[in-house]
Amino acid sequence: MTYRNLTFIEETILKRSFNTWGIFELFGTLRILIRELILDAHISNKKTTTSKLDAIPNEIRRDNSLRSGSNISNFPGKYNNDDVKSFHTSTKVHLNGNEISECEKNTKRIEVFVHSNFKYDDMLFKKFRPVIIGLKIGTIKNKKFLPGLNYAELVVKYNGNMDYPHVIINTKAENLIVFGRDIMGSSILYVSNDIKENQQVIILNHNKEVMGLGRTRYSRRLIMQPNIITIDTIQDIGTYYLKNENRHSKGIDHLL
Amino acid sequence: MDENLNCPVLIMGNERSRYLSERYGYKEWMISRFLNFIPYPEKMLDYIHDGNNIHYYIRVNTLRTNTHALKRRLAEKGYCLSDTILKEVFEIKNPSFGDNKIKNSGNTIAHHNNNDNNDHDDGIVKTDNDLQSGNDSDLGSKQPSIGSTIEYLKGYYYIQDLSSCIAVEELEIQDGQDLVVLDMAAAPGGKTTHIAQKLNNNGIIFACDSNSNRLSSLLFNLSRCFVQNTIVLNTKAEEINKLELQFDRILLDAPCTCEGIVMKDKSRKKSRNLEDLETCSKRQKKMIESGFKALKPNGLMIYCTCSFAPEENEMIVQHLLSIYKDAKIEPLSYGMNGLTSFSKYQFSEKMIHTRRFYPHIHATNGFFIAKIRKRLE
Repeated sequence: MTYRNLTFIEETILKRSFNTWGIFELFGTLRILIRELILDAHISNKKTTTSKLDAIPNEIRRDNSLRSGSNISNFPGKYNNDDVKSFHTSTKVHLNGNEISECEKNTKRIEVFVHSNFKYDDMLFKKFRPVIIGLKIGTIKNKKFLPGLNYAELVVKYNGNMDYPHVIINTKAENLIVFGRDIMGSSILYVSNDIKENQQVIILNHNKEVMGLGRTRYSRRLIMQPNIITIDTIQDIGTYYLKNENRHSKGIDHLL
Repeated sequence: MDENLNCPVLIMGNERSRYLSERYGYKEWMISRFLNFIPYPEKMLDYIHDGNNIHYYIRVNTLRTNTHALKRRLAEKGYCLSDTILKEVFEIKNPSFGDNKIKNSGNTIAHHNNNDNNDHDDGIVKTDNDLQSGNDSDLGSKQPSIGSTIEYLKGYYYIQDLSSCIAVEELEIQDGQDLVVLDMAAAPGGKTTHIAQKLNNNGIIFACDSNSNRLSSLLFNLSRCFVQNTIVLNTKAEEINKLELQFDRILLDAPCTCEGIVMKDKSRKKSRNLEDLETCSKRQKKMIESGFKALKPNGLMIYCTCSFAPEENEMIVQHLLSIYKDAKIEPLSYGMNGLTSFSKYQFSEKMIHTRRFYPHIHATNGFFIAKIRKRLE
């Protein structure tokens, strides 16, 4: 199935996440759709690659794998309609053969999309075999919702109280984060309350605009210590554009 | 099919066309044709030849920000913006301001270019490696180009030619209307994101492109601009009526020979031949027919190209008019009148309502727009 509605479990997972990030009221106002993909493998370097690539639509990842000369047995050189059809039912992503570990094969990816239109039913989505419907906000993995940047945008837009986990960084860090740099403690201007170690946070600039998503290495008390990286950047707004553009010219192997 | 409209039309060259083609580096058949239908052709060639005449425009993405806030922020970064005929579109007077600063800093730069069809998107960015090896302490003070500012990455604006924005403006979409819109050749998404902001993320946009390689840029731009009301289809525009859907509005920015963007892509002076023109023209006829069939009664279709060639513009519209008696050309607000004749061909007198844009007259890409309404039965 290409796109489908939420199952009961997925709905619970998402409601919990919406509640955690302070936008529970928004849940009922969005049309949320699920796209299930079967991946042949994930990339083993989870810290810098898997998480960041999660932000990139799979169509583009597959495109990059073709450009980079990776295993292309399933994709003979160029897209055609059959490729696209197979993609919708069971996308097989081969990135770099050396990076694939056997235990990670046949991973199911559940991607979450929001669409602003409630008019069209699932039958129509099936019939058209769309490449993308609406906006991808994250993925569900191991019964957990992993927010993407668009989800962070929704949180910042609709949670006016700002009672979600976040940090505010200075201009220098703002310019660096779009290239995937991690955050130094000295670049952090503000940390929200109750930040724990290994917690996902929204990274904001001084205008309170989403610059990325990060994971803390330290709790709130130690997060602003100078000269060390205290937050790992998971996704940044440059992921969507700058790095993709560079990757197109160099191939995805370079990135990995 | 209207068999009377054979194309392409080859016009015999003369001494003047030979001289101009040598002087400006075009193929001679292009010049001999330009001399027949472009107003002040030598002035245009001269204008295009001078690289300083390129105009850059940005369209404010009102889904993400408002014009005042963006103008203020870009002004603070040193960019000079001036108003245009459209309230959400501004001309950037110094688009390479940031580039020079980066170049002068002596660091390695990487060029990224998302320029296809008539949407220009050009900028210079530093690579991740450059940043790793560069001097961090300087980075805060360096200004990115207009194509790689934080505001651009946040989707606050889209770099897009004014003529492209006018095409969407003419779709007559009221703010937040609940319409079903079809963008027949959507990638890289400039006009799709513009339609989305006109609809204020209401309604629904079916964004089609047959070229899978071009879909990546479309998906990136939709995500960057926070567009939530699209359904992206990997479908040939010629086969769009097979979807059995009817649309309130259709935008057909047809794939063309791109003569109109020669100013931004000098290779177009030599890279196209008459066979390309013929191929494009044939495909455009199929596309406009397919699109018109999918239009609701009283629905509106905008046909546009970034080409000067009548074979890709007036002759395509004439082809449609000759087949579908319920197709009606409506007047447009901006641009110069379309051609009512070309070579031995006479077009409908209503063709005067179509619009042409010329770089030396309108400070835009070369562009053509026709507004076609499907009459109620």
